[in-house]
Amino acid sequence: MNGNPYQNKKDYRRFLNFGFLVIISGLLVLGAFVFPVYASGSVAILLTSDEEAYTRPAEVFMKEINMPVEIFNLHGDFKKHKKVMAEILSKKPSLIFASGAKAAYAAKVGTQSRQDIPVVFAKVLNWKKYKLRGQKNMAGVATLVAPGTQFANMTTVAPEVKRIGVIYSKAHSKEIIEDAKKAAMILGLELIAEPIARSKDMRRAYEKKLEGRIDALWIIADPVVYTPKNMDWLKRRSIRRKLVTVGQSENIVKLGVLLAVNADDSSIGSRAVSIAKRILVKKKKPKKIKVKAPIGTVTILNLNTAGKIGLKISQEIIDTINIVIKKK
Amino acid sequence: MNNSFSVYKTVTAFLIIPFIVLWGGGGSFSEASQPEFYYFNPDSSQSNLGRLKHEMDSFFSQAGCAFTFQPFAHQVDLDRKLKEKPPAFLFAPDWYLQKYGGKFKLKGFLRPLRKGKSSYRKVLMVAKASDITPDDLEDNSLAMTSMGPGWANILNKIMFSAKGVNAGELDTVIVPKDSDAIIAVALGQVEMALVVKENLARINNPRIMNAVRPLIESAPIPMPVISYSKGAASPSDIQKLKEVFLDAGKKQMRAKIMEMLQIDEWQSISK
Repeated sequence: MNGNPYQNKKDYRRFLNFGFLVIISGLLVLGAFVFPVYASGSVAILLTSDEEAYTRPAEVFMKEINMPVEIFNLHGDFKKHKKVMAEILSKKPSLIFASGAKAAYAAKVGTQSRQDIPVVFAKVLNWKKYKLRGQKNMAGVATLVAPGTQFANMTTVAPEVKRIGVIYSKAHSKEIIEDAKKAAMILGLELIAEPIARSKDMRRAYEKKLEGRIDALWIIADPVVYTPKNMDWLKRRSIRRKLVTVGQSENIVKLGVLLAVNADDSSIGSRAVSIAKRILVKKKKPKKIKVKAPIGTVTILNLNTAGKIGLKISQEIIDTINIVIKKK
Repeated sequence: MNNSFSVYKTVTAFLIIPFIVLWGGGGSFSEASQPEFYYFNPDSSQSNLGRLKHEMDSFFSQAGCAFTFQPFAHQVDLDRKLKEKPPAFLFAPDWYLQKYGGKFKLKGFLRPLRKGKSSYRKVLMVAKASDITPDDLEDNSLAMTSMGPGWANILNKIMFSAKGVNAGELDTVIVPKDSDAIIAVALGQVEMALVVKENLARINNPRIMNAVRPLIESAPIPMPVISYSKGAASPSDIQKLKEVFLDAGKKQMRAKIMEMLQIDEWQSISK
């Protein structure tokens, strides 16, 4: 009888394959206990819909994060959120990037019992309304640029501005006014902020508290203050008084406001990556990071309004503006 | 008679169908036949790309070049267009050509000069009140314009390796304009900003500039390059573009766009 138990090559190969399988299975079982089940290493991107406003930050996020990424989409239908979130959670993502309000809220609700999975949100206009910061695994990028960014761009276009007036409601804009006061101090500007409680009080507030005391008017997205009627009145008054006006939408510049400073969507994606890396690599807690203002901007200038208020802007400065509106 | 009629129909079809195809596709055909000149220059303070396109289209028309000029504010859009179909010509940062030149068969042939130099420098800026020193750059946030996916290697090469710092470990945010980066530092949104030295003089706002200070200057960075795509640019178009940008007799014609691009003159890139 031959001392070698493997009488032929086929038996020997079978034995090796079996042994290999046993070793691999053992390692997998061991790994399941050693490594956290939810740290798959990939990032989930959840889109509200296919609109460019949501896909652009996601596109940049995907390019810059340097990690495997899976994309999920609510296609504008919040009713799909449970199913989509279940699918996301089954993939065990290390982080979720949610682009748009529906995606952010879906991610918040979906990770309520899984707050070990951090969520970074972006492109949510009223993130406070959705209480997105109320959950400890949530951090985000704001949609509107910070007041200081608007003031800095305003004073680049109109260096003579020293005193900025703003009318606001405490119910909607108390925090932004606090941020604005700090920014004004850094830039050496005076901010005169007048609160009102009702839309119809706007004119009186302007005439009693701001008229003759300001060089520029800051128009914030406050629903109590800025009704179409109030906006129209302010536009005519600011031209009559030759005031510099700055807001946050291309539409109001087209309607006659001098300057708008919007957030650049690609840069929002990059800011989100910065937050994601702080969480995943530097192990910072999302609730400590909070909601960061976007840094990259798209600036829009109405040259016709500049002419009407007697503001001369050099071609060199105009060339630094992204979109210039003028009558041909 | 039937035979001659069917012959007649066949001949007519052969004559009419190509005419319909050419007429219907005429617009796109004529567009496709115009060589495209793409522009991507994140380090330029020229952000009004609408005006740039208008002036470049006028310039090319005046110079007798039937090129379509297309500027891009973001690399992600340029990458997408290049993947669809490389243009005949591309004006882009040197790092872009280094990274993607092989893939899109791009060959640099013209480089701009500014004050006689074919390179420029960037400056690392911090808030005036910041306690960051050149020997203490780690663990800080940095805002800067795009330098592509190899940005960390580039930054290490031009600045950070010399300070014993790996730029790849910095918390970076990419912005479309140098002014965004400087404003972010002034307001305390980031700790550092990397901006083109010449652009500092153009950020004509003492309220911002009084809130920041320079920390380190980079090593020289090659100026952006005009390249042509092999197969997309014809030899005659390449020659035409060389003449337009190098011919001393056309200096007055190109003065306006040179000023917009902050370029003094062009030089040919030798092999």
